[in-house]
Amino acid sequence: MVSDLTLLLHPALPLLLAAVAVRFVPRVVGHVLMVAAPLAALAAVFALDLGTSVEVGWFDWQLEVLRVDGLARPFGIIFAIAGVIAGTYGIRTMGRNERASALAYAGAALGVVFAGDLITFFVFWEVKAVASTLLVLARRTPLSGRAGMRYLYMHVLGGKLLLAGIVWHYTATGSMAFTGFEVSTGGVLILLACLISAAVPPLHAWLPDAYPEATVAGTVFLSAYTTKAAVYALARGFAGWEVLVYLGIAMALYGVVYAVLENDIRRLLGYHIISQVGYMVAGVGIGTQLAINGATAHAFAHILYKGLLLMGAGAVIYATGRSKMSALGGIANRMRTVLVLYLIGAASISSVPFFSGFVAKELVVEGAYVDERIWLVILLQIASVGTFLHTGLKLPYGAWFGHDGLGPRTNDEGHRIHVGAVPRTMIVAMGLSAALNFGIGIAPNLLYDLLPYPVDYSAYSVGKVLEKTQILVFTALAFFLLLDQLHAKAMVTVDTDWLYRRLPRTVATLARRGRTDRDPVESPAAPDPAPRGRLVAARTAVLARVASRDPDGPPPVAATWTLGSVLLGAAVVILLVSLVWP
Amino acid sequence: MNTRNLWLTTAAALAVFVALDLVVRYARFPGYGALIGFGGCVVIVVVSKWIGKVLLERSEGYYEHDVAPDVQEDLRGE
Repeated sequence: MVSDLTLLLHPALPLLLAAVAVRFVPRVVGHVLMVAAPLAALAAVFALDLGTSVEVGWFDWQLEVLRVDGLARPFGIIFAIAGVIAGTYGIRTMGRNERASALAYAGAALGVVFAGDLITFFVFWEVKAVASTLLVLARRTPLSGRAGMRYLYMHVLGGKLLLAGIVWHYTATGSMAFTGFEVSTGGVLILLACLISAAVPPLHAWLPDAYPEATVAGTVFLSAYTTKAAVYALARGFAGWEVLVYLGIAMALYGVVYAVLENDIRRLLGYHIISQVGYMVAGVGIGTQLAINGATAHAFAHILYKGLLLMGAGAVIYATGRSKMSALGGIANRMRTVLVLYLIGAASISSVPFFSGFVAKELVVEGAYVDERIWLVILLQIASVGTFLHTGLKLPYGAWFGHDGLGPRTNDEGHRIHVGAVPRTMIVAMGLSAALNFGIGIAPNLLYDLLPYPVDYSAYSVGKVLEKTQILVFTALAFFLLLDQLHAKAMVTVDTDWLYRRLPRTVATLARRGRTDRDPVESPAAPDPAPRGRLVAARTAVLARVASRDPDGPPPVAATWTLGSVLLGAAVVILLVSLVWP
Repeated sequence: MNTRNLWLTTAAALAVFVALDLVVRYARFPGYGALIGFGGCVVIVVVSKWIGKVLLERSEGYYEHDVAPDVQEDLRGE
């Protein structure tokens, strides 16, 4: 049984407790919990010394449920900070259930990062997948319901691959420790699970599918944890696997290509998450100390500025109810604060000197350069051009300006888009994030001191700043020269989710070819004799009830309330029995 | 700004940055950043638009159940 009191300092604990509590306490106390719980987690991460390790006996295994080392700590710190920021942002918009899911999700992500063995890792990984699905469903629209279920299916697939890999790895090696893996069947299965979660093409389609359908605050939470926890797992288990370099650069460019075509503002940012995570995956693939430092630093900064960008996009959606650039524009004058804060995020992600991207992203590029991979450096720089092009130029232009320019100055008179007020808590959260981005940009050592390995890199030299400025200036010039081609079109793009969204129906249509769709000629069938007749009648009644559910209600899988409670109860009983097992 | 002025600005910026590169001597060759920035941007836009046109773009009703209505919905919670 648990005897080590250090376990009470586990950073996941305050968040998981708050996730349960927020369901029952009054709404005002919930406001406080949404900010206080991540703050407590942050304090806990700082209170734990490097090298802390707590083991708990469970059946035949010694589980290392808490392990604090150089790699886990920076991820833990930024996950807690992201919780504070996203929690503040969501104070006015999040309902009880959504808050519980968000806190459980953040807690599970911290659990993943501080897990020292594969069983703990797997349990938190799965809690994270379920909680994040609930966060997508929390928008409670038919679109978010379907996107959320598709999201769940992909993550269930990833979870099963992870479990299979862990079992295979354990059978082969007899070790449950979560350290670097050898090239083996078990290792490859675990790698596949991590690749799904890191949204590596062609396993990425869940991300741009589901993230834009979540609530405005839900997306900010989602963008922080799932992909970055996967990057952590890759850095822990697969550092130096050459294949990750190629996957990483393919990701970085893939996201850029799709972002050119995208119309929905949060989906565009979603494709840029893929592009940015590509840098981290490539850094992990290079595997040198410098590159791992770069991947970690980039994950840290990325969570800050991507959160800021999604908060800006969310504020636009909150104020106007619209998310497509083709339906926006002409609102800059009425959302000046949000626009300025968004642009700070855009400057950071585009690695403008003196913002966080410049000191973090360039560390990955430096890692590639020192490792003598010149083609990788050039391709990463081109991907970075695409980042500035879309998040720094195309999105703000399309969302805030467009054909209508700055728009009316004060009120909505005579303009096609009504702009509501943005709550002060949202502005505060964005301001906090912007301040951190700027702070890291001008004092890079704040970030470098947290990294897993000692950093011997100076971010600022005249040459580096000049080269980056030159790239950015010429990207902007090319953007304005190409502006006519870059107006967002009201289109959707097909991605690999076509394989499970459209292909099945296409196949079914082919199989039905030659048959008629006419209704069969009515002829009342004779009722079956009892008892079979009763069964048929009962089945018809159940099917009619399922079919007649409210179209805006939850999808049928979530509606099987009784079955779910029984399964959950059984799981809790089994867990309790296993804990008191001699 | 019209297109002609934009091209003039681009040429002027190129001259300035090449001169700076010659002074600082950090770039692989003078104007490297301009090539990556301008060339990269053009390549990304042209290639992506082409792929989009021949392969990826569909009308908004392609996934028929997933057409978002263009109404200004009220997202404010309780």
